[in-house]
Amino acid sequence: MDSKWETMGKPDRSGKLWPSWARWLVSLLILFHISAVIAGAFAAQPSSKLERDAAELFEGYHQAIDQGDAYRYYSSAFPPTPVVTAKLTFADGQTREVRLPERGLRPRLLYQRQLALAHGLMEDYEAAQRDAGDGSRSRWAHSFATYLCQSNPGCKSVSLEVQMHLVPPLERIEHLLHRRDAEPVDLDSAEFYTDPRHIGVFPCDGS
Amino acid sequence: MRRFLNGLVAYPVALKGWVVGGWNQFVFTPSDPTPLGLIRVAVGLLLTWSLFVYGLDLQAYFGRTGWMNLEIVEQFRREQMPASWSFWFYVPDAWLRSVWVGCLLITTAFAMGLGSRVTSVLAWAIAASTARRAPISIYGFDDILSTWLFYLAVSGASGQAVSLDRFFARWKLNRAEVAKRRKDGRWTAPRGVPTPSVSANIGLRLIQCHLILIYGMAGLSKFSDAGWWNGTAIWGTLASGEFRLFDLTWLAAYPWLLNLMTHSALFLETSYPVFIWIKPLRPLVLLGVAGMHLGIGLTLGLFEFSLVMLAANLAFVDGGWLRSLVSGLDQPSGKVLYDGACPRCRASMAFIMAGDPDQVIEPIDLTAVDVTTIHPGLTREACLKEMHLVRRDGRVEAGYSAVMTLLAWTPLSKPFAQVRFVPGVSLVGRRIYSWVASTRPRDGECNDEVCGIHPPAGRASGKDRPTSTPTGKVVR
Repeated sequence: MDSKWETMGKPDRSGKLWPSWARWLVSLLILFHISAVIAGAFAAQPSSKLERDAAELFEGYHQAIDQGDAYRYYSSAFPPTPVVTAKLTFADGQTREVRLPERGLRPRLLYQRQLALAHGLMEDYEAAQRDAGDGSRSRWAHSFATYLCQSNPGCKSVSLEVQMHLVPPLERIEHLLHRRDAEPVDLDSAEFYTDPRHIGVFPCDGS
Repeated sequence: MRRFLNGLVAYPVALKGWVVGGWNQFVFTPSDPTPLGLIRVAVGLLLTWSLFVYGLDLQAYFGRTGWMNLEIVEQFRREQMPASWSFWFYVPDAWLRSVWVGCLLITTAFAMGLGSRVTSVLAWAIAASTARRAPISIYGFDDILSTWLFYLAVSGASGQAVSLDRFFARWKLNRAEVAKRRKDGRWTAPRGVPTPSVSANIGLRLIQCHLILIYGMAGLSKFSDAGWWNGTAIWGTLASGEFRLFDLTWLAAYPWLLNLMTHSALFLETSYPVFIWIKPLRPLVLLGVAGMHLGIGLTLGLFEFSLVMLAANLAFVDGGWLRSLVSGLDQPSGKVLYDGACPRCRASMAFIMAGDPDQVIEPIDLTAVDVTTIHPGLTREACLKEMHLVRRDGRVEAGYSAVMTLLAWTPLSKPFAQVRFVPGVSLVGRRIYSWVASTRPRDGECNDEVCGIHPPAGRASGKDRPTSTPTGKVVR
């Protein structure tokens, strides 16, 4: 009555589940995979050389199966959030600002995607500044600027900036709440942003 | 001394036996595939949603000169992840929309459990490819999603429950059974409860192990930050200007509440890897985790991330309990009298029985039995006119009403049965049923009064209302 796939895994009459070779093979594959995942998890900073070297053994495997950072899902503290501002200058002299992430963007998942884009640009900008001494050599900055030029006809140049939206210190909010004329705290107040860091100006003609 | 030496020799042997036995029990004991099926549904729907959202601005995310220029993505890939891959690299801009639609169809089929063994692998390939094509647009949700998809794909068991695959397989078996037309008019459909399997167990074990690693490492890493010791770390998630959905800054006036939330989150994450294996504590741990992820969703707006984590926690939930949520603890049951000489009726019975949760319905071919033995109030003529359902408690329903009750008893069709409450649907439904029943073809020579066209029940009585039998009410 049961189809073949329904009885898969059902003990046969001898009481065995799977043939011995299959269990060995599956066991080895599972052990390899679990080792890779654990090695990846322990290699996240701060980590020892032993832990990092162990993770390196599985690097190709991690990449091939797209384990991403799923084995590094943990953060000790909630970090400030990067915000990117692109200033578009048009041929007729008009300007327009594009914020990443765009406030009020729906659905919320699209907003999360833009948050990730801003984070990616900030990391690459900092890496370019650290490695080449020039943040404007960020490849993602060039990519973003090219996209903005193409998707905004008439755009002459794109200027990119990044700043951090800080988590306000608890003490500061407590202080604000205890004032007699206490109003709701505005987390978008300028005091909770760092000064913008200029990434560069990118002409739309590619020069 | 001899005892000591004997002990030295015996211990490794005993240890090996313990490890091998424990491993075999942990990995190769068949498990109920219901939780894995539900994880598939949730993960499949989330992947479909994620792709759909990308599609709202497809060129911006996957276009060659979108936010993430293809050449630059390739450069980074070669430098940092040479072993990674993505089919999106080979899709020209003009084909993006078509490929995107194809991907949506595959992920939807996967969520519904259609061709699960193939679509699970394709769904994982889609998730992995998407993450590689748009590498700086992804976050924790995408990583976790890809991981669960990988486990669902390699186990090959995601379609063994809560799936169209299973439904169609049961339908096929039922068609063969019902076609046999046994002399006693009875036949038994395969059990509705999914058969436990080793492959389902492997999928669930992989998800369980990954979950405990995620929570365990998340908890351990928090010990390095002072905020988790002084009870204020949770403040960062509540007061982040870019993530917040609601103004929660007023919580700053209640430091003990912040402390409680912080310590609870830390305790939950660090204790999860141990407490989740202790069965009496498991419901408490799962409730705590559900609360934590609900909190993450509501405070940070990370709904998709919360849902994908909650879905994975189903790996620790008992399959029988999950099924009882749909079928209820007191599952109704009854006998269905159908016309076994009518091919359409046989096919319908096979279809209905394919969704039967667990032998809730007992199909009986009325042409092979004396219907009064099933219920004294029944007559062969009435039963030949329309299908009859005799409930366990003796109540009888007929025709459209019986069909709707059967749909409501079947988890898969339960949502469709709710349409009967829409005004006018019953009226139309009864007419359609009467027309279908009266025009149904039958096997062999037409030699009884109900074989040909007879007036639909509604018209014959002049009313479309229930009729009574000597022993009870028949509801139509």
